[in-house]
Amino acid sequence: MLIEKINITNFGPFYQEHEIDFSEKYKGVHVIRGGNGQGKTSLQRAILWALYGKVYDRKRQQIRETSLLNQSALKDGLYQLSVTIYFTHEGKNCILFRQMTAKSHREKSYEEGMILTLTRDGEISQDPQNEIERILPYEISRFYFFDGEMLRDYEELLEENNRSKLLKNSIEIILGVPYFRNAIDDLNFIKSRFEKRRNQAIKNCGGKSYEELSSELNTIAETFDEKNRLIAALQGQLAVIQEEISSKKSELARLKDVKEMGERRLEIEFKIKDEEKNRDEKLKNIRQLVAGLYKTLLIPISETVILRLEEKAKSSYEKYNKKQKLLGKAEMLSKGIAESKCRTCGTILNKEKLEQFEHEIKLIDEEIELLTEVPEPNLEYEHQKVRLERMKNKATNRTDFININVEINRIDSRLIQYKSELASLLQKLKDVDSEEPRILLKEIEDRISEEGRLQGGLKFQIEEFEELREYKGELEGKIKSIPRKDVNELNNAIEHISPLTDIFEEAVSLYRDDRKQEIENIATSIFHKIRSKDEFDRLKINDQFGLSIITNNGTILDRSEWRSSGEEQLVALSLIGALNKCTNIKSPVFMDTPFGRLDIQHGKRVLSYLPELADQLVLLVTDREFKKEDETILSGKISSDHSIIFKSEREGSIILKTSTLRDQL
Amino acid sequence: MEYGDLLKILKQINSDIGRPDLGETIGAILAFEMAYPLQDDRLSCQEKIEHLILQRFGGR
Repeated sequence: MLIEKINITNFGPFYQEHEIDFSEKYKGVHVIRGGNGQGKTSLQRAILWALYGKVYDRKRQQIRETSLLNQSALKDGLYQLSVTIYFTHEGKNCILFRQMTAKSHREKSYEEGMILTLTRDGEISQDPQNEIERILPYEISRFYFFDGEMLRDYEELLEENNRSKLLKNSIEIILGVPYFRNAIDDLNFIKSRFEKRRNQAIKNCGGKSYEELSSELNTIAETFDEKNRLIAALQGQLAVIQEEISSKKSELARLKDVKEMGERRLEIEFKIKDEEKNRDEKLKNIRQLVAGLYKTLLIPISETVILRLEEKAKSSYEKYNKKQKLLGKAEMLSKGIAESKCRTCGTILNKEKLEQFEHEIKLIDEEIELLTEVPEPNLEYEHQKVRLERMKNKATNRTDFININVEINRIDSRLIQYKSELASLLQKLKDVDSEEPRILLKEIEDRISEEGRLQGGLKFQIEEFEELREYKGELEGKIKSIPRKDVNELNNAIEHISPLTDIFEEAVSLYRDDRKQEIENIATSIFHKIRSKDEFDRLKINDQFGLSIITNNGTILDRSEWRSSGEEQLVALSLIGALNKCTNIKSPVFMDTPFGRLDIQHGKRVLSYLPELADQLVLLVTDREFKKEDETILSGKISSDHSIIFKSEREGSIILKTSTLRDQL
Repeated sequence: MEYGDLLKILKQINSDIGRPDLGETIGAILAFEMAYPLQDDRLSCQEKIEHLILQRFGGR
């Protein structure tokens, strides 16, 4: 099966008709992009609904028919939705059309108005649902419509519970085991029918002893049938209860995840607050830098002024020093003048010296007079110079701007990451009820007690069944001695059925072991391509088809030890890859958010492996999961690239080619 | 997995238990099962196998 085109009308977020076209090149990787809540999962659900007429949410609850209709169509009073899938299968062009029309917006009305048609090369199929089941059985659709958010399904394969048995059955359908199982059931049914006919033939022999034998055989056959029905009913009830327990445990585990998500949400909110505060501070720094920007402009002028002030200060000092020297000299000369006269009577003692001193002091006084404008060192020049130098040092530097901008960009990038993670967490945390875990625990306890009661009843019925079988064996001896051709012929046929049944029963276990080995080998080779650690040597399969990791030292790592959800996803992908290689069912593989739990490095490894997974692979991804560089990894293998965009509440989501969207932007 | 691969397993088991008389019947039953795999097909498939067994071992 290769999908060529899908038309969706009024389904989920898609209002009116929308088309997604893979016809340019069917095979290869088809990328469908879309953010959270845009409609990626709805697109996958639309295809599943077209195929099987029912879809389930992530809590494994069936989505009601009334919830499938687009809200705008509902407001318009258009109670009609449809999905058409154009595909090729075994060389034939097929068209699958499913439509639901209702007279009123009630579930029953929708159920009544369901139409399903399937044409092969224009020929209408008489039994479309069974035709689809033959192409891709519903039980195994989970392996072709993979949801990254539903990994727990695959994790169950490592546990021994009823849910893992159901998954094991699904895997066995992929591998072809049911052909043998159906043969066993059919042969047992035929044997029972032959026995009834034989009993009638014995009765027809006549005579009291034959009549009694026949009557006894009939009673045993009836009791056998009754016991079989009872055992089947008990097993059915047990399966339902175990499925409910498993589902509720799963839900409880999901709620534990919710708790972790809640804690992570608080952590992220705190980080966002912290980063925003940090960012505000950086912006404040920038504002301060901008305020000091004028100082930068003044740097060339201030440098000239500083030089001038330095010169002035120097000259001022020189003058001051000169004046001090002259004052000292004048003092010395005054002393000389005084000493040139008698201290008592004032008589001139040395006239020549006195005149020389008086002449010199006159010249000095004139010089001092000239320097009176600089009476002391001019500190104002020094002060102004220091101020200007300080201003120059405080002026804004270009690198300061660049550094702060780099820091703000880093903060912004972290903020985007945190906010995107927060948005995704809030989406997941929507509609979570805090009382749910307590209620779930109580429900699980009730069902476990009911499971015990049913198992007790089943054990008792099986014991009685075995006793009957023994008694029936004794009667078989008597039958052989009856000299009637029709009885003998039927007996002969019955006797041949048992070895045939044994052969098919043995084939089931032999074939299963072979297949398990093959899956283990292929899954290991895939795991080698995508594994997260080189220490992980290989994978080992268990009876449930669950895979454990074996390390280089031979240690078997079970779930608790390799609990990282990313690693669990790698193992699940290896299993899906191996199943796809081992089956003769050829169908496209849809992967919704396949890299959700993987880091960038492992996401890339998985991405480079994915094209090998199926002839036609459809990746439903968010922009965060699938970036521009990822296109390079898939270079040459991308056959189509579409985007789902939510336009508005009224218009809903639309599908368009990513290139068209990029042109519009 | 194709018809030939599945038949090979059945024939191997049959050869081990030494019942060559069942060989052809096993192949025919497997062919019916592969042609009628669904739950809705059970009745048609059982009728065909019943007819086959009566023909081979029931003296018809």
